[in-house]
Amino acid sequence: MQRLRIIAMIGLIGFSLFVAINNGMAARSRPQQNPASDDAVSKWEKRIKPVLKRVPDNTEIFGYVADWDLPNAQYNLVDQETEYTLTQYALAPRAVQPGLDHEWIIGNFTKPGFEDWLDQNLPAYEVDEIGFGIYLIHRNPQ
Amino acid sequence: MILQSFAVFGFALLAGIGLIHLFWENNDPWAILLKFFLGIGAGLGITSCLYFLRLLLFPGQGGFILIQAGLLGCILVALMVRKRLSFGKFSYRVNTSLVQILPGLALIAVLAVAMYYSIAFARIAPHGDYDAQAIWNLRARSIYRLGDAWEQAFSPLINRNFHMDYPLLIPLSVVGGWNTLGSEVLRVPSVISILFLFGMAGIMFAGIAGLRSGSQASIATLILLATPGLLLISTFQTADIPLTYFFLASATLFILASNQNSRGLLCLSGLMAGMAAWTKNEGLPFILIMAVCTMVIFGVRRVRDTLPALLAGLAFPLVTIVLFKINISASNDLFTNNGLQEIASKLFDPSRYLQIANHLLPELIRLGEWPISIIVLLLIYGWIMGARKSSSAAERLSWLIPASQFIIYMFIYLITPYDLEWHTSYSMSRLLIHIFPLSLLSFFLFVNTPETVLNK
Repeated sequence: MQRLRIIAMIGLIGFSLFVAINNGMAARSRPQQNPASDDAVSKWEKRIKPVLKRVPDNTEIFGYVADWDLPNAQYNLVDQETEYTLTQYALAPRAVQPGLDHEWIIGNFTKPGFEDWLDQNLPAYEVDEIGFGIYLIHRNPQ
Repeated sequence: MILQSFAVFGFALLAGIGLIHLFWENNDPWAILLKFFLGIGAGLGITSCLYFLRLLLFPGQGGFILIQAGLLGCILVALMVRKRLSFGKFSYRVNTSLVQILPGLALIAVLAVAMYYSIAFARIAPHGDYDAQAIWNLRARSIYRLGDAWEQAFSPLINRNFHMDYPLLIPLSVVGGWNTLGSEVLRVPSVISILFLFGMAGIMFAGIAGLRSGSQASIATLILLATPGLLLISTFQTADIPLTYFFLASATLFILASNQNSRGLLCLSGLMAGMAAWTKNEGLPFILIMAVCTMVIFGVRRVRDTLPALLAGLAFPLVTIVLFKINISASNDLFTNNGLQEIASKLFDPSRYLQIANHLLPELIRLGEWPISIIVLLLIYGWIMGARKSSSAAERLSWLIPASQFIIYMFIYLITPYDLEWHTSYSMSRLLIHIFPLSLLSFFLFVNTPETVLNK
């Protein structure tokens, strides 16, 4: 029994060490180890933040529309949800509300035909292309 | 910037260590080590409570360092008055037996890997995971950027996943760090996560070293730090690991309080339970669990002595939580559109129990994402090593704490207003991680130590 206990201890410790080494290797093999390269969140922030230079300083709330609003569009729900969350995160403390109900609206489109959809749903608007599929839509400009 | 991000919490950590030392006179080496790691949560927790009160009472957001310094000053004065300013003389003999050294060396290796992992992920994912971006860091950003108008950060317009009723220990610690450093330093949330992860490991090690032996402590802690799922969650910058830290801290202090018949330690256990509730809503039922455990383990006859001590520790965080709930009126998502009738119908729906069980079994097997089930491994290990008969009721019954929290979590799933399939898939692995360290603590208090079985 003594021998079995020694084996059990060494086995448990050894296996834990093995798992720990795997953890280290997993961390090492993750991409973007170069501190100079941006992580995905920082990259998204860089895409969204130019919006703030094109709206009045007192803008407190944005609308948000994306591929998931376009009829019959194919999209990955997880990606859409993540991009919406990252947009809110980037623009905090301004609120980002799904829909077209606000004067300034962030558009996040990778699919063609969004202008037709906007024409059907907004009486008058202007679109400013920010880049990387990001648009700033100004509803009912003066 | 990472060193500055640690330094900004320096006074809070010292204050926390001092507070633990004030309430607990033991100067054994393992106790001093335990005080150090308990001080992390105590210091950060009390500072964030004080900072919240400061935000409520005065305009602006400055003063985080002053609060820490003031807290440290008060604790130093208290220590001087009670003539407890030093840790006294102590000597420690290093045990050079193989049974101590081998697990110790393995622990050092696992610790080094865990540190590397944490630092690597802090660089790869400096903004944490989805929940950090949707809830915790978003809250911190909103509060920080709003300045005097910080209460608007709780507007329901800011993201439909916002969980406005979530408490503020983590976000306010981040805000305080940013205000002190003068900008949104990216490393501050990572540093807080690292402090709580290694603080939890330190509590596990020092607690078991004091209650059992160094080798037992090394084995328990290296299993904790080798757990892939726990390490990964610690990089998410959410409140899960800090919550787990406070659970473990409260349970460890509770066991020590029972063994040493110390109301001071019981008070500290209450403080940690209160801080769990100030970290995440799952801490609220934990407070009830600790109160019930106090009555069960200390005995109903001693309730008039013991419960007030626990409640005294709970008082300050509870007052903070009450003020938070009053000032930031937000309903809990579990009970919105989920009245008594709906809850009752769910409780009597057997399909929900089956659905939960169908998720639970694979999650338990996968617990912590070990390649071989850690539960199976530990059961085999425990069977081989044999059980220790403890004279301490708290040690024998310590399993009640994780078991009760587990039952509460399953109850929450039963009554959830969310789609049950989604809710269990989304959160069950994380919730099981909350109670994993508590279970490890109970297990390694229950199982024979290497010294015990090898010396037979």
